[in-house]
Amino acid sequence: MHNFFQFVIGGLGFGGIYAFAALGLVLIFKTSGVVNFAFGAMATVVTLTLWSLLNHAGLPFAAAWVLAMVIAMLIGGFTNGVLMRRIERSAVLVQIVLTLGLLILIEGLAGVLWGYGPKSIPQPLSGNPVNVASFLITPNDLFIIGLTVGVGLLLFVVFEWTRVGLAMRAIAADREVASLMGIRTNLYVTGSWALGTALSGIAAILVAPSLGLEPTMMDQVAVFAFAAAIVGGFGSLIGAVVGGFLIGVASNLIAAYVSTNLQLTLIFAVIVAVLYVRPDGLFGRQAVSRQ
Amino acid sequence: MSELSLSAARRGALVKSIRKLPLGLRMLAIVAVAIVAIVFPAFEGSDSFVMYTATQALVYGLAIVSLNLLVGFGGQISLGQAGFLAIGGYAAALLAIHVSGLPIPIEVLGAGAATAVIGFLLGLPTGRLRGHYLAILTLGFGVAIPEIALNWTSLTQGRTGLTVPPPRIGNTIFPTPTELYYFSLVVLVICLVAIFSILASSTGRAFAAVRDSEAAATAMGINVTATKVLLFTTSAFFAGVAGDLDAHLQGLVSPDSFPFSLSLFFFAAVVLGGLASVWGSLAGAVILAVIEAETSSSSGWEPVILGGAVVLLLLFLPRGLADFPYRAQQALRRWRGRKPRAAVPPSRAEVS
Amino acid sequence: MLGLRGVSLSFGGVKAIDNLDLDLSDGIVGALIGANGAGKTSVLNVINRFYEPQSGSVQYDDVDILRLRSHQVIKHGISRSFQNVALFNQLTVFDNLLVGADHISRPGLLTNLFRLPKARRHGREARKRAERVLEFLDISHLRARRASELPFGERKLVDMGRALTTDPKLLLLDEPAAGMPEARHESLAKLIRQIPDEWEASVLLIDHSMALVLSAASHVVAMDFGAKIAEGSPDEVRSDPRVIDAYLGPQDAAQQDGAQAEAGLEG
Repeated sequence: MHNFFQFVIGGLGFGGIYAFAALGLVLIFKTSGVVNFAFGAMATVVTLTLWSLLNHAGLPFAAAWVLAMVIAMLIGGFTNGVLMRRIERSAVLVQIVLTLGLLILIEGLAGVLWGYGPKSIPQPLSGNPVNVASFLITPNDLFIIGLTVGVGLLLFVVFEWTRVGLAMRAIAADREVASLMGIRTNLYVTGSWALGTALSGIAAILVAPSLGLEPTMMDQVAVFAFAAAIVGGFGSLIGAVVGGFLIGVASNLIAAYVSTNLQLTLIFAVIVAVLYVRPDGLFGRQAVSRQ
Repeated sequence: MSELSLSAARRGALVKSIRKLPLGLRMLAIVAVAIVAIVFPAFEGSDSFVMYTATQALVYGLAIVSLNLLVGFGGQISLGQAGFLAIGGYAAALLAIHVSGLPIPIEVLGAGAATAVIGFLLGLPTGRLRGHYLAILTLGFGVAIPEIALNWTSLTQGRTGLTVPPPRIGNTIFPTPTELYYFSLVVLVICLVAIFSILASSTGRAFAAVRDSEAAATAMGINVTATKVLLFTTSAFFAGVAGDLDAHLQGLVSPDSFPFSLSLFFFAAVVLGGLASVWGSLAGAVILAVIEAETSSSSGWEPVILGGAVVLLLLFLPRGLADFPYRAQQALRRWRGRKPRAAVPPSRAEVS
Repeated sequence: MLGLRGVSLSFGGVKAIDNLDLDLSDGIVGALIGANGAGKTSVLNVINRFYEPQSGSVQYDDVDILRLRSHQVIKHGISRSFQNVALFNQLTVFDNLLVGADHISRPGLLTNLFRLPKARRHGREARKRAERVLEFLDISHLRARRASELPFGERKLVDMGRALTTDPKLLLLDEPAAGMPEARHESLAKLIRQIPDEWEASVLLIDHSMALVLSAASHVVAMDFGAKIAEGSPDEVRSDPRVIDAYLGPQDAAQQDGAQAEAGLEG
């Protein structure tokens, strides 16, 4: 039993990473109604930029991290402001296809610019596992869990209790009406793309030390992040955080008790099961059907 | 940019974009393509790399048309079409290895049928899912299949993969690049005839009806869920056949043969060729195969070209490449100083 | 013979249909009138099984409609058109009609694939039926046009045509005159009057164009806030004080308001 809980705790670090990725997805989806399939590639470019800042510009880790976040926001803002905005009234399929095109393009560009060999960046915190209530946990995992919970709560507070959040919720409910009410919808949507890309950038920066930094690094993480967002109902920020931790723990348990090579498959089975039984996720509300 | 709206003009189901050209010109183009496809090996047959690329284009052609059936004609999404190819490929390899003397038509049908069963199962939840959820579901499928193939070593030999013998009829085997090319061409043509036959029938109309309005389709007695499941099954069948052809072309199926990027490239090719355009999809397949052949040595430009083309196309030529002849014709008219035709392509009714 | 008994439908707290009884005999044109939001389209959506009523029963001949799934309703001869037109936009007008005819005998995929005799026979019959509808509605010249290209009024006609192609015994028409110039209302009314004889189908018509309803229908039911307030011949319903109050009243009042506002502007 102790082993079991040790595996649960061991999954929380990755869970936090999936939570960040899911948060970015959900935030963008809430305001713009678009699932950004290119988020993983964008986040990878942010991380590769961080790598360059560390290794070529020789910046200290914290400064490089801050600069990488700024670049993430520019990438996200540019994507919405210049590309997605032009097709915001098009069918869902067109929007999905554009983000898929961006996924292919950005991953390819990352390969051309940075090459395909794996690179390494350091963990935010190094150090041996510490003993917390008889369970072992690394300082880095503790940092990730704390950061996830902190950022998740901050986003929740902003979204639920501030004027900015109110505007974003209005946009999520009905963009046309929000626009008529005088809310600068384009600004907020572009802002959420910027913030969402920064959040997935954090996920990529946190996962890179474990996976090895390369252009297609996030392809697999993306599946876990989609699963986390779906478990969380694809519209709830708290759901995304909870979903992220659940998926992180579940995949660690799968690796421990079933097979390390079947994680993706079993997580896919989780996606199928959730979508089949509760198409709106464990935390989602039933959408009002059209017609 | 109302032109960018998919709902308006992009999804010309039974109305194909090529219809915009005069009938004679269209027939001429089809005959020309057929002649080129048939006599091609007479000129290039000695160059096995060219023959390989040409055969790859045929295989991709079937795969991309099968995806377009789903996306363009049926309004559904699959980001895991390579997963279907994988199932077809493994089924073909297993049949060819374990059933000695199996006639090739049976093998091809078997690979298609095995894949169709999986397509049926994957299609079951789609009655309730649409848009983003369907995209994520199929993406997960596409990523999971190679992983399953990797781990089910008793069946698939894991990473080593399965060696696929060349196609055979009776005691004759067809191992040369030119023979593989004709084998793939014949299968592709049969599949295209079948697909056109389905699209022109009440079944094809039901696919399009569900795509255009689920409510109206229901009121007209169409079981929307059953129709979507049938669509997934049909698409998977043809993708499985493409997987069979691919297995023979490569001579090997392994988990690495079907990366997620392949599914993405297929999707890009559907968009490049134009939704709901079979001929456009075939053109997209040629482009995909050629880019792959030309960029395989220089590292990594293939995704840049394909992804960049998709993004640019969505912004500048939103109806896909199938629209290009019509656009070119219009540009030519403008260049000659004549008044361009109306934005709405004239229909037969207007002409008569 | 269509019969609704005590049908109630509400969304959240809002009653869309309130304990409605409704009968429609075979071979006639009946009409359901009422102001916007009176619950007319909801009645069609209940009969069509798009909405699940909280109580009541819907009977058509001997069939308990509420036991069917929505795509099965048409098998029992009930077809419909849509208020906002739900054509298959990327298909031609002719293909739209063919989809309507397709339910009559639905050949399977393999039957279609190999063009077996059954599929060919179905194709011939469907085309014949679609041709007849084109002729009846006088829209043969539109056959090869893509549905999305047509103006709203013509789309309404095609929508009605698609419902006719299904060989219905009961045709539900949701505001067929919407989007058509008033000059065409009389000819449309004439078409609708011909449907029982020419197509052996009864019609349940919804519209708020009083002129169209009065000229097309022989039996009228008036609704207000989801409940039936009057029923009878067009003349009876027109002169019913509750109908005048609920239906014509506010309109007159609005006109008066408008007149006053104009007067105010001038003054």
